[in-house]
Amino acid sequence: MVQVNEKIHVPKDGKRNSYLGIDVGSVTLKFVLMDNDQRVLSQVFLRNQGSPIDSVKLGMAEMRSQIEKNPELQEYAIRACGTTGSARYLTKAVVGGDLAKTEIIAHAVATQSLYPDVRTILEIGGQDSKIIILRDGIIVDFAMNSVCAAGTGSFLDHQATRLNIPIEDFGDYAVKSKNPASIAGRCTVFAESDMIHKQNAGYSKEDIIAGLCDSLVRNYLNNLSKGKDLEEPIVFQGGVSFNKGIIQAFKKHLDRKITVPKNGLNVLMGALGMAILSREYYINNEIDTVFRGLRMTDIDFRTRTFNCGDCPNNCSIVECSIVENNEVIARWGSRCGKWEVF
Amino acid sequence: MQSKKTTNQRELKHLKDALKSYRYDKKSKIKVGIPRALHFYRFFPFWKKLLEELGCELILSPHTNKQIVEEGAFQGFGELCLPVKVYYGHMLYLIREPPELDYVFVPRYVSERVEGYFCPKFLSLPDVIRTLPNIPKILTFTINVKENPISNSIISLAKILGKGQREALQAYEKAKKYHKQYQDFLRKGTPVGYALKLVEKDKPFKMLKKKTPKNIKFLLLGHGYNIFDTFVNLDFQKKLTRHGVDVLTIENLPEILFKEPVIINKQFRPYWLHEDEILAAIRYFLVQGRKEIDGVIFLISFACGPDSLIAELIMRDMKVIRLPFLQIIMDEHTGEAGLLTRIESFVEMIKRKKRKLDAMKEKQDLKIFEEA
Repeated sequence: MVQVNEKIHVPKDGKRNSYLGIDVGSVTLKFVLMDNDQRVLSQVFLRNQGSPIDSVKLGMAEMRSQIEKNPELQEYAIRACGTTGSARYLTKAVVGGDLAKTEIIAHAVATQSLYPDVRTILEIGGQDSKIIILRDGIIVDFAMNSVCAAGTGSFLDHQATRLNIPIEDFGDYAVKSKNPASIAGRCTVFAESDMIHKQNAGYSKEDIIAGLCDSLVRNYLNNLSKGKDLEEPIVFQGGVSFNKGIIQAFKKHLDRKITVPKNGLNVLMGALGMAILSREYYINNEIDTVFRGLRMTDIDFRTRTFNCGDCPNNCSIVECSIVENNEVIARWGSRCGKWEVF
Repeated sequence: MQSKKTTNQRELKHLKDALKSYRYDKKSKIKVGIPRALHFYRFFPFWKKLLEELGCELILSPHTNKQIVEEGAFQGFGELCLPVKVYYGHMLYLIREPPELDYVFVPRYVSERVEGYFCPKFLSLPDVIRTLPNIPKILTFTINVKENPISNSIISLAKILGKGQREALQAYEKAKKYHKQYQDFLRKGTPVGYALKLVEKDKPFKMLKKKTPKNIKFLLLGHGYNIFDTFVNLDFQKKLTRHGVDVLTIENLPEILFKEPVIINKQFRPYWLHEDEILAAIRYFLVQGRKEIDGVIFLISFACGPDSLIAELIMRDMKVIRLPFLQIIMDEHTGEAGLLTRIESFVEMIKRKKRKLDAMKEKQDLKIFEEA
């Protein structure tokens, strides 16, 4: 991370500075509130509820109740707010974020703050997986999975439901296996049929799950690393990094040491990265945040889509507005830029 | 009585109009439709001059839009790549929409220089297009310098249009000259989209106002029909410009880079013409031009065989010289989110790298930095 001049401008309200990072992924939602010394003050980790707007409101309500319960947290004021994840722009519009950055940047920044000499970051989330290569503290390369979601959390989740095992216990089953079954990992559809064959042939659940973890890792390495040098230190994060079976499989395939951030931070890295970037933004720009505040949970938002129809492209436009005064806070989706409001 | 007179007058006017339009028809030129797809982005100025000199009026299909892609994808079957499906879509538009065409222009490009071929899909284009329903007559010529000089092909093309050898050669010379002017204009750094617009509107090649150069410069590699079709690539270049990036394409590079063929090893001789160009362009940036650009982006259309091969070669080179490289594969997909995440990450990665290096420069002695 670039160290900036520490001329922190302190507003007159006398409260201490804090920064909020929000990561709205495909499956889960993460909030991190951080103080000036990059200490995590408060965190929220939730499964998505229907639409991203509903989830964000729920997360914000959770954060608000944490703050209301804790008098120490009330000494802080949120000076800047950043969003990341696949819903970063929508979230930014809804909460009044100051900046939106991609997951790659957010993850890299957060990991570097915890492990300054990290050289490889493996991240497997709900619907996408990434690999980030750093050298001398600089991101030099990255890759994301292409069209297919094979080898991501959603797939494991689905298979866990099918095997009637809670996803939290998945890893424990995998590490118990002595003789992992070999499962085709190229495509989830084939992997599933292969799994059913193995199940019906009488393989134990442990062996099948271990085989599944193994094939997921193989798929990940084939699709993403493609000849990149995965040098130590390697940090593994994202929801799937809770899974011991996957960690074991990575160790086996890479023959290197794998570090997983502790204290539940492995899933919060995106949000933490955004909190750090928000701090950087606040210090560099010295402008007041446009953050709506924790009270945004009381505002009703409405989204609608319509087709423009002014040219043969017939773009589908998404519009997000506040119900009360019909103020349009965001609109996008046109190719020509006609309807754009940010 | 009065009403009868008006009817007569009306009839007379109608007859006069008909006569007028008949005369106009007789004088009017041969209408030739050109789809705005595939090698349009490479050869259009040449075709335009050539065909207009031979007495044709050109009708272009519009810029690619959703309907064109959808219709093309529906008509295109089997293992076709997206650009050919888009070509189908443009052709269907030309067939469907007025005015009625005398010909559609579907040239067959086999080989433009002795040691290379165009992609097989270009070779077979006139034969494949023939299968479309209600297709007008196809105007075609074959460019294959392995067998025939280009002038011979032009003479046979002129014959179809009822012109003699002398007129054909004159038109060829003019078209060649015009195309050269166009290419020189691009080599001064003009964006292809802008230059093509000037050609289309018969305007002189006037430079755009020089903008202040931006901090970051990318080389955007790929075939013209992927890079300059703003619908198919979701206006990729504009997205880059919006993030503060200057874009360089193969067309903007000096001609001298492409004089010598690229030889990777004895087994792998350059085979496809476009791919050879891409490799030649990248070769320059591996050595002399290393400091001129900050990154390379390669746009590939899904199911492109030749591109998938050289993408691997480029990736290996980039790893050696440590130039950031991003490969993007496109298909009929219109969701922008995935593309935006990749572009933003790539640009941000380079911005942060620059900022960090600048900070290091300030801190350390300049000499130590250069050694590192």
